[in-house]
Amino acid sequence: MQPPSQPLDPSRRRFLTEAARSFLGLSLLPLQSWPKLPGDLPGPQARKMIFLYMNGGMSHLDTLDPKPGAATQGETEVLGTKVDGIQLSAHFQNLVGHVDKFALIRSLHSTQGAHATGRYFLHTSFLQRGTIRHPSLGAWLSKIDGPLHPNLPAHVAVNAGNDTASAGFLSARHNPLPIGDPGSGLQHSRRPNHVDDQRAARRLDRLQAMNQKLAKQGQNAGTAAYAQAYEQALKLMQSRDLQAFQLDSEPQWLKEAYGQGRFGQGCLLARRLVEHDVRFVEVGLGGWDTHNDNFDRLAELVPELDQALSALLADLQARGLLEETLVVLASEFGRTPKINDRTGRDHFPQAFSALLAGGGIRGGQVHGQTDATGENIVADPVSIPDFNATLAYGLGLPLEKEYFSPSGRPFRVADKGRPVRSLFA
Amino acid sequence: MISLCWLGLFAGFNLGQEPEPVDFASQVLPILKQHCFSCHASESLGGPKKAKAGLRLDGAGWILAGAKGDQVLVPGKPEESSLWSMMALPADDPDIMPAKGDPASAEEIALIRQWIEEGASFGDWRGEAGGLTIRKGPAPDQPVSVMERMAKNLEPASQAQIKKAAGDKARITPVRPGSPLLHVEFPHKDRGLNKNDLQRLQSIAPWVAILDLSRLPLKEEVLGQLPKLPRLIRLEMRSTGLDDRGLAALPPLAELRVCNLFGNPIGNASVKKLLSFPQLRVLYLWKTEITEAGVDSLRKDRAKLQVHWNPKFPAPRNPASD
Repeated sequence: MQPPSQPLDPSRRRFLTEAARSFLGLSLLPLQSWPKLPGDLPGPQARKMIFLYMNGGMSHLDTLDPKPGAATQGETEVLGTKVDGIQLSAHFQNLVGHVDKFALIRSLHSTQGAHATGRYFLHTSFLQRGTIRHPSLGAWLSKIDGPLHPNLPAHVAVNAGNDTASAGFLSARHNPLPIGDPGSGLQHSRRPNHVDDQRAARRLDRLQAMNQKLAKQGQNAGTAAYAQAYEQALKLMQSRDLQAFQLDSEPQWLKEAYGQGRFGQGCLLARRLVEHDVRFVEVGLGGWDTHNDNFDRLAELVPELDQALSALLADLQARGLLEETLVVLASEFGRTPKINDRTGRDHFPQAFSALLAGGGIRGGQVHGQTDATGENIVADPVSIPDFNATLAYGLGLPLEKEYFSPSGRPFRVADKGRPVRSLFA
Repeated sequence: MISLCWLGLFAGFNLGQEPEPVDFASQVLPILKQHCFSCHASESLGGPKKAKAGLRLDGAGWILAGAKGDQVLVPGKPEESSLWSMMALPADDPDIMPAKGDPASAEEIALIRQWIEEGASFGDWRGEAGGLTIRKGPAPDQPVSVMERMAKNLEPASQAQIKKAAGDKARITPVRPGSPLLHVEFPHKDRGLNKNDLQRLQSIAPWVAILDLSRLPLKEEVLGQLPKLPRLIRLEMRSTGLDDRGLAALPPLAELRVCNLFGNPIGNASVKKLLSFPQLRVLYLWKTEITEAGVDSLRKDRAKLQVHWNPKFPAPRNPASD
């Protein structure tokens, strides 16, 4: 076998590469890996995490795992990236430029096909039970590593709904501080005008006296945590870092770069919070439950995600925060590759995708693979506990250590999940 | 074929010619086809029903996937690549590959070795789909982790030393669970930083790998008290008000890799100081007064330096026009 006597001219070679891309699609491999962000420090190094939770079941075919040419792909078009084998939905016009920063998992699978149970499983690694409530990852991080900031909470949930992040059986102080509208800052964090310092002090003294009386009657972890929450709130009200919750000080152009919707502004707030040493911020984006009109709806939703996530990655990197902040995009399940008769897609826990960036993740790689239809995982399956173990590993949390619930039952951070360590290599 | 591979070998000795790397598809693949495919390829390419040892050599992913999880190819390291080493065994060795038929010729084996040494690029070739989708373990071009190298043979600091260094302000933790190297930060931003806070770090100077001074007001007088930290890899000084004189007060930092100066009023006068850190690899300069010319002169001097100073944000969307 002789090499061709004439090298292929560039345009022809490019044509072949492009053709191979579109015909072979996912069978192409990302042989080229990008250097890790900090250049020289392999291994996980996250201390903080921003969890972008796609509420409702994000269609993997229309986002992170498109199948060009397959009948199941439908109307969503596909864009290539600098990395062979990494193609994304064409709605990710900005995100394709950040492929050097993120890794994809395309072989996630869950056992839960309903929203509430899937959401619970994704957040906790455990199945929902009547007898106990399990902690979510942000609560574990708060419990095990504690807050980084002396006054700000360790755990914040922005627009995330109230049944996602939770302290579970851990002390109530690991519960997330909920923020409804990122644009309006932290609600009720200022004293009403008619309450001056003296009056506030008198009220607090009164409260304390009453609490002490209650405490004497019997110790209770719940009331202690409640009192602690009060104390924390007071410290927070006096902290100059309360301004971490205010988006007013951000320039208008940056607000627009993130997108003016709640999610975009939530991502901007998340950046402000990790900048001020909040450990774990969950930001929710709903609307993914596309049983009807999948393509029209995602043509609105995915660009909103693209805008916010791309701005977040650029912003975190430019501030040097991406090295210690793990950014994760995930959903409770994917959606059926088969398009239903309402041009929608239904729940699909058998195979779906997630994105990870920062915190020591080596960008430009894909872990796991689905077949040409997007229905079956053909390489390196990752269960929900494996996924959470990967995040916990990135954050330096112990995976083997057992923690006991108040009823004396042992639990581990990601149950029996095994981390995908190679994502951090 | 043979003349080609000799050309490749001579090029390796740099006889005045641009080195011509071995091309996988035209030079290595034919060797694999001839000697290996009868056992290690799919049936359609002449292989058995089930590839021997689970190893297939008919696709890039399969080659990287190795034999049932064991790597057969370590780019850059032929000695660790059984793809080469088992072919290079003496002819009477029971483990030699190919197990059946004639051994590969010395030239063919040398060519595979050279290909691996050059980084084992598959070029545009992908072959049969499947196998592995990612590289396992660190990439071959990745230097040994600096953190690991520095932690080697380093006894951990004593609790007394750490306590002394922490005073009532610093939070000192291992950089990773189990590492003797330390991460030092000052969580109480409200309380500022004074000379003693930095002087105290003297007692743990050999262990400090990450020092985070973000959002603390940093003045020349204070920063000048920083002891020499021989293992300092990352220095975080974002939003500290640090100016050129303050930066100039830093001691020599021989191992500094990452320096974050985001949001500080430092200008081009600091370029020289930054270049005095011999290992500097990543620099954050967004929202400083360093100009494009300053960044250019940094990059000119250090080809490998990543400078983050001018991030590209998505253009605003106008939902009405979508």
